[in-house]
Amino acid sequence: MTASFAIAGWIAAAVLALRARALAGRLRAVGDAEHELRGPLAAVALAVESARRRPALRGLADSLESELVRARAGLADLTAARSGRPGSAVAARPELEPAGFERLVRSAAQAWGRTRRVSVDWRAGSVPLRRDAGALAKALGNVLSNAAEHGAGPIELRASRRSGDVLIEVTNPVSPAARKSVRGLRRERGRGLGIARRSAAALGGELEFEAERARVRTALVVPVDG
Amino acid sequence: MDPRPESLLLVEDDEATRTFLADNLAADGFQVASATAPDEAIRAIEVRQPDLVVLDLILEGGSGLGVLDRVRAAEPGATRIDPDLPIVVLSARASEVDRLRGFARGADDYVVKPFSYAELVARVRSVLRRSSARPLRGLVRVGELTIDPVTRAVRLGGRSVHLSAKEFALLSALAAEPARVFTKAELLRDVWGYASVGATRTIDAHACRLRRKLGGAGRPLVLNVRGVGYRLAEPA
Repeated sequence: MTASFAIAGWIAAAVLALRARALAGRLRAVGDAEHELRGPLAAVALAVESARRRPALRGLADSLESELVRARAGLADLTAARSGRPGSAVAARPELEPAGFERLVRSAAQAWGRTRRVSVDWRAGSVPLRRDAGALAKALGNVLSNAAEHGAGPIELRASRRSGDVLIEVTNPVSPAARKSVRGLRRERGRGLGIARRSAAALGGELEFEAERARVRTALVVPVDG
Repeated sequence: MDPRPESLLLVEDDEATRTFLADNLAADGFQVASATAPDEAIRAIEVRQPDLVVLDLILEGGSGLGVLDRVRAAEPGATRIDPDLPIVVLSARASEVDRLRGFARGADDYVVKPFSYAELVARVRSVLRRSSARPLRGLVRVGELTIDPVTRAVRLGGRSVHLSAKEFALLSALAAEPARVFTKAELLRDVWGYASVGATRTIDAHACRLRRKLGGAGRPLVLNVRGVGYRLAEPA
């Protein structure tokens, strides 16, 4: 009996040791990935800054702004995953000045505007966002990429005020392939919209998703301060 | 006349980062030189005498921390390196331990990659502003005047000026804090080693000769502040 307990204890300890080793390996891989991304991301951000100074490249630089903010937010997520302290990484993320909110939204639209027709109708006025700009960039990027990948035709982005929130609605027609599976379309699919939903929650807001036979509407609700 | 652009030495071995950062800093009005390895960085600091160094920590052939150590350990009078040279570290090493290590070794600021370029420039300007009033050591430049403590050479607008040992010491003392008025008591104590303030005629005589030798620039460089002491004239 005692021997059975000893063997069971030894097996449990061995399993735990193996799991701890696997976890340490994963954390090291996350740390390596985080470190490897820092230099290249700094270089790309500086290249974009240089491009912004050249009139012919300014549009390209503007369209990359939200993508860079999104990439930096992803890096902050890796840092948080490695350290196990997500709060510290979020606290270090930048806020947006009033003009920056609209600029970030237009930048995200411009990034997709190179491959799709994306129109922006900004009716939200000048609003400050004293929250995580990275979360906003991640939410916008994923909502727009979802629209581009699963939809067809032009994408319409409309920003307006609803109570104390900014409502960013992205609508576009459903692609013929996606139309064959309306039931599937009505469900939020994939990792992208999951990230968008969690990012919206991190901003204190939410994500609304409506799929009809001919059209999909995804709305990002972002509370603003004043 | 426009003020002299602030000179930066960018020590970074990643070509893309170095090229684009230098490009942006130059566009923002800085005079930028660059180096990729620790020894090259030390040589550039000695020769170029930058106002500030932007220093990456992971370099070809060594660590940027070694550069920090060599600068902070520099002995004024024995080297052209100013041990108080402002240094902003730029690094992918982002942990709290790394940042604390950078500050402990003498960094004036520590910026983690990837960074906001606007924030980096703001930090560089802030460090430059804080350091602008520090006493100058190493090779000293005040306007057109250059004082080399190693070779004891003095040049004014490209012209070599020959000074006696006491005249050189007096000029070095005044140039260490160019905007400050030094009292005669301070100068007698620091340059002549006198404890009492009785021998003010000695200092007046040396200051007069120094003013004459440096008079080629058109306006007096050594100014008498009546009843107090001496200071250097503001650079034109």
